Amino acid sequence: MFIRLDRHMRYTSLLPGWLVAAVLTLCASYPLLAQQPTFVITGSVRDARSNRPVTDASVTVPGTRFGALTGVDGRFRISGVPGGSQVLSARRLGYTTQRRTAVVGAGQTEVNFELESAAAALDEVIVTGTVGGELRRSLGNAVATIDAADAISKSSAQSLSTLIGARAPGVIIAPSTGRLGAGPSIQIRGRSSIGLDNSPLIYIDGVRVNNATNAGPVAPTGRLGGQASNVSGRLNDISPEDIESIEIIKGPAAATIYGTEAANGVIQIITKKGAVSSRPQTSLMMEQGSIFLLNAADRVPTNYARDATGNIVPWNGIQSEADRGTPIYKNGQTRKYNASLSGGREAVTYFVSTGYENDLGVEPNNSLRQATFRANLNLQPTPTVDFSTSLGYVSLSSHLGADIGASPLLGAVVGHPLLFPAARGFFPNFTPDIPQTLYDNAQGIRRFIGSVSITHRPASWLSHRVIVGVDETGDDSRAIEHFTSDPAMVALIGPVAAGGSIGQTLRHNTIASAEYSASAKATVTSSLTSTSSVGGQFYRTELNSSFLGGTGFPGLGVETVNAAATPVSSTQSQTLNTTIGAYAQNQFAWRDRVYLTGALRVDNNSAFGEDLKWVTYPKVSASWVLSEEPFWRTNQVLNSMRLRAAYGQSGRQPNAFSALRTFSPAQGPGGTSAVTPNSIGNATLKPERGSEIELGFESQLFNRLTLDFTYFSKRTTDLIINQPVAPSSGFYLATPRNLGRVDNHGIEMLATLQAVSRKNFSWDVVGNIGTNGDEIRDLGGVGGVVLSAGQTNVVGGPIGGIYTRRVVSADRNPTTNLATNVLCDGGADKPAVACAAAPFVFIGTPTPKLTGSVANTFSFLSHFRLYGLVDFKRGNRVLNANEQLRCTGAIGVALCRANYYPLEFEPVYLAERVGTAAAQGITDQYYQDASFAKLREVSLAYTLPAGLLRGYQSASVTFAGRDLHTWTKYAGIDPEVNVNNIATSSATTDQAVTPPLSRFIMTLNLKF
Amino acid sequence: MRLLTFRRNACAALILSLLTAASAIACRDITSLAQENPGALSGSSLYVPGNAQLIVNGAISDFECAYARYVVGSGLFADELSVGIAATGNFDYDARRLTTNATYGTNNCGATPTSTQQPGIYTPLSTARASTDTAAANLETWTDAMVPNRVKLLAQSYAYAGYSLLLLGEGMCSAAINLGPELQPAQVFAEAKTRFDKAIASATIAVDATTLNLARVGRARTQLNLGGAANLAAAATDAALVPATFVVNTSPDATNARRQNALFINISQSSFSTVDTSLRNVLVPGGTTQDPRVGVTDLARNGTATGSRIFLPAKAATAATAMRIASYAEAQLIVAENAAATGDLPGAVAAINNARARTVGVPAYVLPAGASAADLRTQIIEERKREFFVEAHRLGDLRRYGLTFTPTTGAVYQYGGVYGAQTCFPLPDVERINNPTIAKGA
Repeated sequence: MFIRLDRHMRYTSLLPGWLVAAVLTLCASYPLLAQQPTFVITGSVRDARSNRPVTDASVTVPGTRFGALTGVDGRFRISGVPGGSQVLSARRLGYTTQRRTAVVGAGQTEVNFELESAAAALDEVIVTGTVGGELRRSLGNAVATIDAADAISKSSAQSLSTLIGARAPGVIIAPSTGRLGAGPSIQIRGRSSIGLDNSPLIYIDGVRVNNATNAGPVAPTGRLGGQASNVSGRLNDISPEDIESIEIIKGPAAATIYGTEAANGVIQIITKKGAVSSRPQTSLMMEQGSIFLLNAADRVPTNYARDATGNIVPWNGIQSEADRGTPIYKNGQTRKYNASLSGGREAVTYFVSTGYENDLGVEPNNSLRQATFRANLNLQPTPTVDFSTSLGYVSLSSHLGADIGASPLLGAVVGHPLLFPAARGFFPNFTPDIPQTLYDNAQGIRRFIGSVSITHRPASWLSHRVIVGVDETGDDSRAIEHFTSDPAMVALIGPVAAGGSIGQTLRHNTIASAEYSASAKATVTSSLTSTSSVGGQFYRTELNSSFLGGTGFPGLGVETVNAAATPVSSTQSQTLNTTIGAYAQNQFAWRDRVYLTGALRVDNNSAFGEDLKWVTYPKVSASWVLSEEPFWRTNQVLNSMRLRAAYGQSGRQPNAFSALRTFSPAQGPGGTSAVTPNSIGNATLKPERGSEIELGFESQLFNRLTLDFTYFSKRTTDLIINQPVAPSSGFYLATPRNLGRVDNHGIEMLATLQAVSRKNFSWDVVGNIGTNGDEIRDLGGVGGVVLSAGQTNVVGGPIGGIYTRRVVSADRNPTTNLATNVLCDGGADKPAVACAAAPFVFIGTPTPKLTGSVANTFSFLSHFRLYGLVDFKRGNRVLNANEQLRCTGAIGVALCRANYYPLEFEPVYLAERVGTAAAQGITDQYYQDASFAKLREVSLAYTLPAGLLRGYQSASVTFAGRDLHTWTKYAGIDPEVNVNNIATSSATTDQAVTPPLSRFIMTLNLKF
Repeated sequence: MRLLTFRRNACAALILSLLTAASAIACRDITSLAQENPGALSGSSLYVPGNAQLIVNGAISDFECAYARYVVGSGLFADELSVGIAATGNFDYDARRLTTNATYGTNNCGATPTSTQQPGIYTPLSTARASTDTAAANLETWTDAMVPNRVKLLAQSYAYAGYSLLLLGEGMCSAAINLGPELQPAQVFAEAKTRFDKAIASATIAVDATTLNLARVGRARTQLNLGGAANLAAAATDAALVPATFVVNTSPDATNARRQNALFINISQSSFSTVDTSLRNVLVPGGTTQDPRVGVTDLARNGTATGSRIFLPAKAATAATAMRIASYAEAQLIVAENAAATGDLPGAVAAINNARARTVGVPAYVLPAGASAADLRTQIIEERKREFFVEAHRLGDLRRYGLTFTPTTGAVYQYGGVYGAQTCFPLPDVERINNPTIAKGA
């Protein structure tokens, strides 16, 4: 004991010695656990209606650490259980929790569960920010929950974004490009901020983590190879196999106690934990598959040009390369492996896992290699103290390829052999192998996310918790143009480009979190209980970034910055942002079926203006489990019903430094020190304040149909608008001001239907839809005037509304066959006018108004499951820049069919296709309806029967396909792609962006 | 048992409290909400006498950066350069049909300036004007005791403020100062002249010959723009005082994006532009070799715009090649212009030859027999076109002399559409909308 004390003191020298001694003396008094005989409990969990096995159900002995998960055959095995009467609980998302009592003794005890499906698991614990979370039944707001194991088993989702995508109403996953390594943006309930990031906060096991969406390499100015390669996002660093569940809180009504920064919603990722068992459970997953670009030639339009003799020559770049035996896109591969070990003894449980993924894209310069490690440890040193750690590490190496400005795709989109004969037709006289072999946009990520949580329950009515965590991300991104001495390449790209270049961006991001919270429960009367919670949070975000680079390598294979002949300007930035906040919440529960909750949150943040101190956000919510009222008569139609309502506020903090008036260092004459104006600043800058009302219900009908309905209405005031500064002021950076207001409203519905439920055949349908409308109500009198075609913000319109001139009538010139007498839309209730004098009229919105999905699962022949998911988005428009470039002759010659065969097209169409139309702002034809439906996931799974397992607990094989078909009227390459990041920009543009790649995957899962 | 439970709870509570307290103590530094941007100076700490040199350095570098971009942008807009890159925005510069929200109005010259692909005109010049004016205003409030070389710094600030306004007047159709009303070019030139007046006064006191001559050439150029015989004569008077060795260039750097030769970056490094076909083989008068004042190099490659072979001006040989702002040659051509206007043809010829003599390989000009003052004026325009090739004069000259822009308005533009009717950069939306004085219709 004394030796241990000395050792502890040596490592805790910062703490007063007497304090350490007192703690250790107290702690030394714990009695050793008595050794007593233990036994094994086995059994199964099945669906009560279909008798199908329920996988990944959690079977536990409540109040102890004993428990296990069921395998794909629905069976479980818990060992080390003390003898005597024990209560067992089986729970699974989507089912009502069931309890069984068993007398455990000599031999093996068999306990079987038959779970009833539930509209919503009302007794499910939801992570809400308070200690231990809250029961779903008590929440006045909607929380979407994704069961990771179930979703992965059906979809073979390779990343966290594909795991979330299409599974929660109102949550949009927007890929920027389909290239491997690219990360999508997430938007919940549409867009409500004009000037700030619309991404939700992300927490892993209670710790805030990096949610950056536009990381990646940056090329030196003027170099083509690195264009738009900062497309990676940090969301997909998390291995889906390590996740137990995902909870999505969608807006201010629910996110109040998360405070400033939470107005875009919160995504809580809960990783897997171990359960007590005498035998560790090992899980192995092996995945192999093919990656391909579906219908590549059909996605790229055929171009036309006239040869010297006047003949019109068609050309499709993708097809022509395939015909000559040098296809631009080849089939890639995906290989993924994961192994995990979980288990535990009394007071100690563990979950450790490791994963490795090695994917090759459809182009040689696009690949991804990722290794993940996770170790989750839970200790219960005393019955009143829980200690847990969550440690994750990822090592990622990706080669992102190239898009938009320097890819074979753009070369094909705006190319033609009559224009670029030396490059087989590819713009800009670059043969397809040039970007594919010379441009390498690489990213290396080393990331650690770790947290320690200590929960203490000093009394049955009191608990408190400390969570401390950190997310450290190191990013080495390099945009490299390789050196080449190949005479053919040098001739095409010129000696400067052939010399190569490098742009290296080094980022080191740290997010430190510390949180203390306490909850006390009091029984006011026999029917009324009160739960009071208080807490405080501290978040510190530090973002460091450096850029360095150079051009002109001495030779092949030498690609460091210092090897470059001409260095380019290096830059460095450092952002430090701190949030301190506290909350108090009180919840009254009347007979566990009526809940009333009120809360108040206060926050201060580094980015607030210096004249602003603390901001306060209130919240109130109510929940009523109507079907548990005595007056509720059980009937076969409406089996259960819960009503809920919530009102709450939360914020969205200004960007770091935006409140400060600053001058940037610069070089003066002769390299002297100098400064140049940067930001004009705003000392009164406040956070944007989102106020939201949510109303909804959860119900079950006919014992087979469940409905979860939510209506929301959100008002964002103090909207931070980056108001352009008149240059004559001496500053040029737009200044953030709290000027505006945006309203969002919509509905969300999740429905599950057990259409058929028989022993050997069942058919389940899950559907969700979410609508969203955003309207700018106020811009503080700033801007809002449509002066030219494009996307802009106007009062009464949506964020990033699309406004152009629009041709409404035209005649055909009988001589030229082209349009004449062209008139444009004169505005609402006004006659058509000459286009040069026409107003810019509203065309559409960049944000989808309706999103959703429908999934069908068929289980048959006891061991087979067929699954398919179709998701859809409607109501948004995307700028088809490919078509604009082609039809307006941006490269010197118009390439569209309408330019050569005018008689095939209506005069109105022709009027919009001439080059001068775009110059006049007649571009509505290029902002095209991007509504689509996609066959996103299809899978067939086979679970091996028990007789074939040969020692394995369970085994299954799944054949899955992703992104296999698109139904759309959109004429561009793909309605989902976007040059811009929707988190920070409302602009949506498709310009030669690689579409989402399709996959066929075979997955083998083993548990033993 | 009760004691044991108490001790357990006390232990756990103590651990938790200890951790919380230790965290609070250890984290006291990092929980500060104070936010400092380590990459920038705050406005509150910049304007102190100790930073006077820093402030003036910044103001001059703001101008030099703006000047380099003006050279490219005005050259593309006028007839010195044409597009190399197939980009709609560049086509609009080249075809003189810019929309008022185009990048000429918004692209900037900040610490990390926007690309030279579509060079900013209005914002960089406005920033330079404000930086130089602010520097001068602060220097006026400080004393010589507070700031070493205060008057010299004051002269420099006024001189570069004058040049910033001069280029705003020559390039923009209208402009504003300090969120004030919309000013027409004549008003902008008048503002420029006041700056040059003060620069000359201060430089005289400070005995700073370089700044003095810089301001003299600037004032002379401004007076040319103001027009009229009296202003022309006054311009010639200033110009005549400029010594033969005088020249002021930018202070370039090979790597710093604000200080790089923007022409080289735009043309040679990026193929965004090329020398206009009309200037690719200009021969010395009466000779068969390239006029060194309009020297170009064929880079033997094409830009992405069809047929856009890339030619680089010899004046922009590298990223570190200095760009000329003012010179004796300019002063002499102003003298020549006044002489021609007043009928002093020999004086005009002498001044032209003084300018020509500054460039090796350019023969002396001989007045053709029977040449008139008008002929000489035409010759001076041609001299200016060559002497000041890609030196930020051509657009101002086209406007001042009332020359026809070529190709003419309505002519077919080879990359689509037709040439526009613009002869200057219109006041951009970013100023018109966000300047409260103009927005209110003042």
